[in-house]
Amino acid sequence: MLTRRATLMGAVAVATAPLAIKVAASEEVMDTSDAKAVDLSTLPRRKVKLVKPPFVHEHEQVATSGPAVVQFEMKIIEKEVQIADDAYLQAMTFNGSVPGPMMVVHEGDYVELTLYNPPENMMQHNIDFHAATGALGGGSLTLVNPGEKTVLRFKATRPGTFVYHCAPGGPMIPWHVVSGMSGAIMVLPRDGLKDHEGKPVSYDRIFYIGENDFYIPKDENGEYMRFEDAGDSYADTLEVMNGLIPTHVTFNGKVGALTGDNALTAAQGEKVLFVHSQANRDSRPHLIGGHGDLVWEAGKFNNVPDRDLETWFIRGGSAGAALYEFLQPGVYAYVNHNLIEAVNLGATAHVLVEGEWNNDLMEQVVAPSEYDVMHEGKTALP
Amino acid sequence: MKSLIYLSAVLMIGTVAMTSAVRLWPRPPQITDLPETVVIPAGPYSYRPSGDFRIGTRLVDAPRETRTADYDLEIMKYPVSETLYALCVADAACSATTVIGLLKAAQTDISYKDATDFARWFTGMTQQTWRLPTDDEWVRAAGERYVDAGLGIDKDEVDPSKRWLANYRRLVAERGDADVDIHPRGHFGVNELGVSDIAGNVWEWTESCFVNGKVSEDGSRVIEQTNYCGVRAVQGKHRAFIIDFVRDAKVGGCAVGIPPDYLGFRLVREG
Repeated sequence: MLTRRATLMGAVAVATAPLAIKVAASEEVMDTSDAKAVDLSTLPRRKVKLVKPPFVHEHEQVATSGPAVVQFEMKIIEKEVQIADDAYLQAMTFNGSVPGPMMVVHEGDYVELTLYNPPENMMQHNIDFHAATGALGGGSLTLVNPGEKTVLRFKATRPGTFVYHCAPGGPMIPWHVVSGMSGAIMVLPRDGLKDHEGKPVSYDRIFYIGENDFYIPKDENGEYMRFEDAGDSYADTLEVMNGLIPTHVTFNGKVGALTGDNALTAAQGEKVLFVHSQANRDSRPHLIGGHGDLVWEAGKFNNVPDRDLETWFIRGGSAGAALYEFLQPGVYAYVNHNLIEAVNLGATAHVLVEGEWNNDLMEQVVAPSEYDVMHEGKTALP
Repeated sequence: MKSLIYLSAVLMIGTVAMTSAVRLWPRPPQITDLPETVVIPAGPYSYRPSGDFRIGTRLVDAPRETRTADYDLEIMKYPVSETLYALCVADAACSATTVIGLLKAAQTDISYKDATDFARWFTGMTQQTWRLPTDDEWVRAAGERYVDAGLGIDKDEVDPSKRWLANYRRLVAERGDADVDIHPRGHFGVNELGVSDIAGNVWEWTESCFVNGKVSEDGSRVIEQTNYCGVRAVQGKHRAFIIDFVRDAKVGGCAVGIPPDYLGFRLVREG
């Protein structure tokens, strides 16, 4: 175990040392203290408390006032979490959840995040907002050691759904991401979402589906290994990661996190916005029995949404949004339509929709029943 | 003398058993240390047939029937152990499957075919007829641990989504959280009949097929049924239908619905 920990600490040291600059630009650590000051003192400031996914903090869809500085706080927590009935992960989390919480602001707002790395943590962390401009998305301004905090402010200039993730340098980047350190932010247009004709649309509910791919090593008996701490898990996990085949693909951090007692709920006639993020790997959400009425596949609201999609593509390292009005009651499965990942690796959520069945949309004309093989079905021959 | 007794026993059960053939054992039994069994006396029991049932085209709960068994049922007290299954594998009569290696563990990761292969081998080795229970028989042995498969939805409910949602919620409530640890046999205790580990985390294969049935207008009885035997009923905390070659239902489920934790089996002895 000591060797593994040594390996880990060694890797961190390399990641911050000048010699490693050839590895990636993300080793850069900078500050902005000598740049020309901006005066935001006239802007209103608003504190927002984040909530655990799949839920999203209360927010206006159409902004009723001008730009503001929206203040968020997140604490980084390293802890073991259960990701399947028989598998555990030494997770690294934004605010204790995998995925991290979703933030919502409006275009032109300033996002001001205070990021805490508590002293009991083992590692350095930072945050790279895909919604932000410059300094590696904020990554090179936010590298915090255990016991440190930092405050980052960036202007939300582009409306859309975006991933944020930890990117502390070198091989730590993918490892921290597949250990759970990613989340999403949604920057709404000030006047809200628009359909393909530019007409305003709204949603009755919003669900944030954060998808993760996990790489849990197995022991010689084929059982998933558990580790003392993240450092202890590094070497074995890296080996599985480099094979590129995840052992688990989950929604909301755990196989079954959004099924059973935790299934999502909606009512017939409600419009639901599904925001789907994947920080590391491609995905293809599909709502079994439903559609995407309006889909911002790449997540960016300045683009005209696609209509009536069956499945949409989420590029690894992006977040997309799909709006759907539930027309029929029943059980819906929201899956990654790589069905191996959905059924065998975990990427399934359920939505329970109450309402009244509409036979015009679908009817079972003949219930499954035996047919007369001698006389029926001949016309169906190819 | 002994073989004569066996012969008469076999002849006697011939009238009861559905699958057994009368046979003469060619050699003495290889296994004489038999697993513990429990006898469930003949008599009435409550049962709901397994499968999909309709009044006309509308799905309804199968009628809950009081049936009367006219024979005593002798069933293994515990599910078949890894130790016992390993003997069958060693004898090349059963296919190797997952071995947990825990002392007294039930054999899991078992398909219907594995279970019936074992029954055939065990019958030969003991020179007694052993087979899987039918779904009815399992219900008899489950006693108070039998979980009624009815949803309690009004048979006149016209909205199919109500039944669907109710079924989902019932499965969630009944199943609770999955228990992924294999425990020694006996862990889940005995029921009032003395049968151990019923409705623990190992679901048990039965002989019974999926039934598509028609129910009388008043919902009281099954008037017509067709069996589909590519899937069999497995019993435990809930009744599930599993394709006969599946060993691990956790990865053999569909998009909605909740699969069994583990698949294993126990046998009944005829006569």
